[in-house]
Order: sequence, then structure tokens, then C-alpha cells
Amino acid sequence: MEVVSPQTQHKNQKGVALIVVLSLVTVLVTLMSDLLFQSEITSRESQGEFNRLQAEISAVTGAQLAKLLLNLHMQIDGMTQELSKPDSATLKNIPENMRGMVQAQVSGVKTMLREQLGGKEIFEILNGLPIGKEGLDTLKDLAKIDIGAFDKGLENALKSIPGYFIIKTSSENAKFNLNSLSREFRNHGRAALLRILSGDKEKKLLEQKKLRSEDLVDYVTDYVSSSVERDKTMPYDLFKFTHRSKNAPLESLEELRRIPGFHDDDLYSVFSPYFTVWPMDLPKEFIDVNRAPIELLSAIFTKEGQEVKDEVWDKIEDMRASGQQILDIRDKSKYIPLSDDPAGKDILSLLTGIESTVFKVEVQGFFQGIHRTYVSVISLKDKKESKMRTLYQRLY
Amino acid sequence: MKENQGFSLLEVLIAIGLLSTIAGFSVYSVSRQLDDKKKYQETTDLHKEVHQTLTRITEDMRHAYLIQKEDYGVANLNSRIVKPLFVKKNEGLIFSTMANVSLVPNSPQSDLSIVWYYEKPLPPDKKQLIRKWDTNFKDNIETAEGAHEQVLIQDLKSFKVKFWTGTDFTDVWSSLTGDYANRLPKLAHIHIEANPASSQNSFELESYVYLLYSVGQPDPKTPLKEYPWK
Repeated sequence: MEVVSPQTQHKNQKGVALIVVLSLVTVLVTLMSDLLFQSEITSRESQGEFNRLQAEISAVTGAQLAKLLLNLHMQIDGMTQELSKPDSATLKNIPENMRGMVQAQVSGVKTMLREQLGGKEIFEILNGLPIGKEGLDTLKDLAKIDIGAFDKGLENALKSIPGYFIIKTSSENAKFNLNSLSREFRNHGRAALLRILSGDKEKKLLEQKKLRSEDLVDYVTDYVSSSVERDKTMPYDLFKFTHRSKNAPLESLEELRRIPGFHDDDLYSVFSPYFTVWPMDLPKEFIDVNRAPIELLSAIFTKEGQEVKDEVWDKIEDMRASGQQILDIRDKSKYIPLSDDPAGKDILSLLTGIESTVFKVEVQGFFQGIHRTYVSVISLKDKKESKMRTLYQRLY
Repeated sequence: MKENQGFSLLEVLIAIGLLSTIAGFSVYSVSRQLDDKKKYQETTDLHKEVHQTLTRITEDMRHAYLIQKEDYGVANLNSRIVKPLFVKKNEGLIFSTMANVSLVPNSPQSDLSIVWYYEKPLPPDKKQLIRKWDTNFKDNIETAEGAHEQVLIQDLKSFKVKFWTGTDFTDVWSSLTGDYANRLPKLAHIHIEANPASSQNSFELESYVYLLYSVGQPDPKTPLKEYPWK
């Protein structure tokens, strides 16, 4: 019997079965992988949707926490204001010989609290810190803030929040309200806006865009002014905009883009951080000198063509750095001397105050790499009754 | 053994039989897979179309707004051609929203717009779901020139929106007159059903939307029961 070596046996096999099977397997694998790929995409889409929802929940929860802090800020402010009045109802319940001492103690509470919080105010203590299930440990490590030590219940509640959120609460009274050009303070509002737009750098930017600061002020006045004052056809025809002037206050900051000139992306992004439109119904003394940025204050209190008085603004900057605030509204002119500027004096007395009542709460919610932002503008309408009113909301 | 190098007839027949069976199954399987893939793609496209539509409506409706009671005095509503509104009637759903996003650089468009969701008949027996939006506030949205239009659903079966009244859901709502004057619904239920291009099975999706600006809105003239979550 001839022994066939395995090599000879392989050489003799000329079948195509292996090739057929391999080809079939390849075709099937390709089709299967295509199907798997499609279903993977669908499953990832649903996962993304779920993550998006969780991030939204985080953001909205963060806004609730920010509101809680604003409420606390409002109550302390309301209490100190109430007790500082000579006819305070609360004060009447305190024995007469103790009233002076209580008033003195309470007036020092705000300053003391700010010192305790490292120059910060209650509503801004959590600004920029990651909070939530995924953020509490980081908060402990980075900022040395142990919420559990403060309130175990609150820590447990925060642990149930998916992902984490970052709060940014800021005062809207630290900005110039464009709706001041709408009614009562129109002339002073116009003067202040003209000063904001008339700085050297601002003028150069406007020149590049072939615009004048006076025209921009006119366009804003035309748009928001409740009464018809001047011929409005010119600016709108010039820009060929389809809309007409509104003769009512702006309802959102982005509505500023509907006003000729501010529709330009560059101008809108440079100036809009210094502007606000809330509240629509404007009280007097709306610019908070204690919180407005120095550059905004120095702009509205510097006469056109004059040099900015550095010594005044350096002093205010130092005061801010040490956490001090102007506590008596009558002291405004002491800190901001405007002896040679009557228009500036009017702006100071009518448009500026020493406290904030409108705040912007911006919360970013994070979950599994997805983030959603919830922005709301809240008015602390009635400090006595702790009433809040939401003026603007946006979730994106 | 040396001469025995070929296959017997039986072996060849068995091999051919086996191979043709495998090939038959494979061809059947491959053609079915290809058919399934086409159907799957169609279904995925349909799901995506309905899903994107629902997201768009949700985003718009969530940011629906009216002028708040406290601002009536300054809002100068009487002199405006187009006032912020929220109306659902047979012709569709019209409301003002703060969710507009302008993708045009240096544009005078802001985040404010009026949107109109409506069903457009497509002869002989089809209908589309259209979103029309206007940022100029110059004319009524139904007649506005220069307003933008987008087909959201190519072959719509049904589009239903209902609003929570406090006790049950209602099909109609008007912030202009009646019980719901100057008021936004707190909650809306949206139901969309669309037909695919070839297969028989339609696809439906529903969702609830909480309207952010409904907080603090004035009460209706006819008092409703308390909201359960209040």
C-alpha cells in the first residue's frame, strides 16, 4: 500500500468549498456588522437623549439652589433694611433700651458676613464650583467646602442629582439698562449710553463700522421710546430693515440685534455684556455702584473728551478688593466726586443706587460629557415678603 | 488505490445537492437581509424625522412667552401689530417664542419669533406638517411675507396638541380671549404620527412639555382646580 504524505494529499485537493464558505461568511459578516452598526447608532442616539435630559435636570436643580441662596441674600437684606428704619415694626417689639444695640449689630451683619465669606456675597459663594453627585468630592478637595458638614440633608439631596452643575449668579444691576431710554429717565439714559459708546476705543470701533455713537443712541431711543420724538424713517430705511420701531421696552437682550448697528456681530458681542433689559418696568437708581464693573462706571461718569480720573476709580477698585461697599445711598457722591460735571451728577443721583434687585442665574448641567445650560433672570421684587419673579428663562 | 482518484457519481450528487441548498439559503438570506436593511433605513429615517420634529416643537413651546401682568403698563401692546400670543385652533398652533436661533451672521433677527405649526394638504390624499416662523413682527404670521417655512414631516398621519387645564386636557387654547386670556398652559401633550415612504406601519411619538414661562401667569377668568404639582 502506497503511503500518501499529508503534503501530497493537500496538493491533490482542488475543491472550491473553502472559498465558497469563506465568501459566504464574509458576505454574512458584512451584512451583520452593517446591521449592528445601524442599531449601535440608534442606541447611541437614545443614550445621548437620556444624557441630555439628565444634564437638563442637573442645570434646573442648580438654578433652584441658586434661588435658595438669592432668597437668603434677600431675607438678610430685607431684615437689615427693616431694622434700620426708625419706624420699624420689628424694632417696636424689642425693648426700647435694647433697640440701639440691635440696630448697630444688624447694620454690621452684612459686612461681617462678607468678611466671613472671603469678600463674597451669599448669592455668589457657590459660583464656579462643581456641585452634584459627581462634583461633591471635587468641591471638598478643591474649594474645601463640605456641604455635608453644613447640612447632611442637603448633601444627600445633592447626591441624588445625576452628574453635576456649575452655578454663576451675577447682578443685572451691574449693567446699563437699555430700557431706561424708554420712558421716565430717557434723557439721562441717553446721556449715559452716549458716554458708554463715546470712549476712544469704542469710537474707533464704531468708525470702522461707519457708525457714530450719537446715531446708535438715536436708534436705540427710536426703537424703545414710548413716544414718537423724531423722524424714524431715516435710520431704518438706511439699513433696509423690515421691522419698524417698537415703541416699547426690549423683552430680551438679544432683541438689541433688531436695532440698526447692534445687528453687527462685533458690536453686539463687545457691548452686550455691559447691557441689560431687565426689568422692563424700570425703577430709578437701577445701576448698582457697588457691583457694576469699574470700566462701566468710569465710562458713564467721565465727560466726553475728558480723561478718566484714575485716582477715583483706583480707590473704588481698592474698596471692592477689600470687600467693602457703599452702605448709605447719600455717600455715593462722596466716593464718586463729580464737581465739574452736572450731567454726570444727574446720572449719579437718578440712575445709580447701592444695591441689586435683579440677578442672572446661569447654570451649566453636566452628565456623561453632555452639557445643557439654563439661564434665568430673577427679580427680588419684594424683599419684605421674599417674593421672587422670573423675568427671563432659556434652556439650551 | 492509485487509480481511485475521482469522485463517485453519488458523491458528486451529494456535494452538488449540499452546495445548492447552502447557496439557495444564502441567496434567500442575503436578499432578505438587503430588504430588511432598506426597511430598517426607512424606519430609522422616519423615526429621526418624527423625533427631530418633536424636539423642535418642544424647544419652541418650552420657551413660549406672553407679556407678564406686571409689565402690561410699559409694554405698549396696543400699538403693536403682532403681540405675543399663544393660540391653538383648527388651523394650527401659533405662539410667540424666545427660542429662535439665527444662523445668519450680522442678522437683525433676535431670539424672539412667532411660530405657526400647521397641516398642509398635499393632493391627492397626503398632508405635511409645516413650521412657519417670522422674526419681523410686521404681519399676521398666517399671511406674513418674508416668513420662513420648513417641512417637518413629509407624510403626516396626525398631529395633535392638548393642554392641561388643571383638571383635564383641552384641544383649544387662546391667550387672546376667553378663559385662557393672557395665560399660557402649564403643560402640553404633543402627539405626532407619520407614515413611512413604502411600508404600511406608521410611527408615532408623544411627549409632554412643561412651559417655562407659565409660572406666574394670571389665572383664567373661570377658576380651575389647583394643579396637582402646585
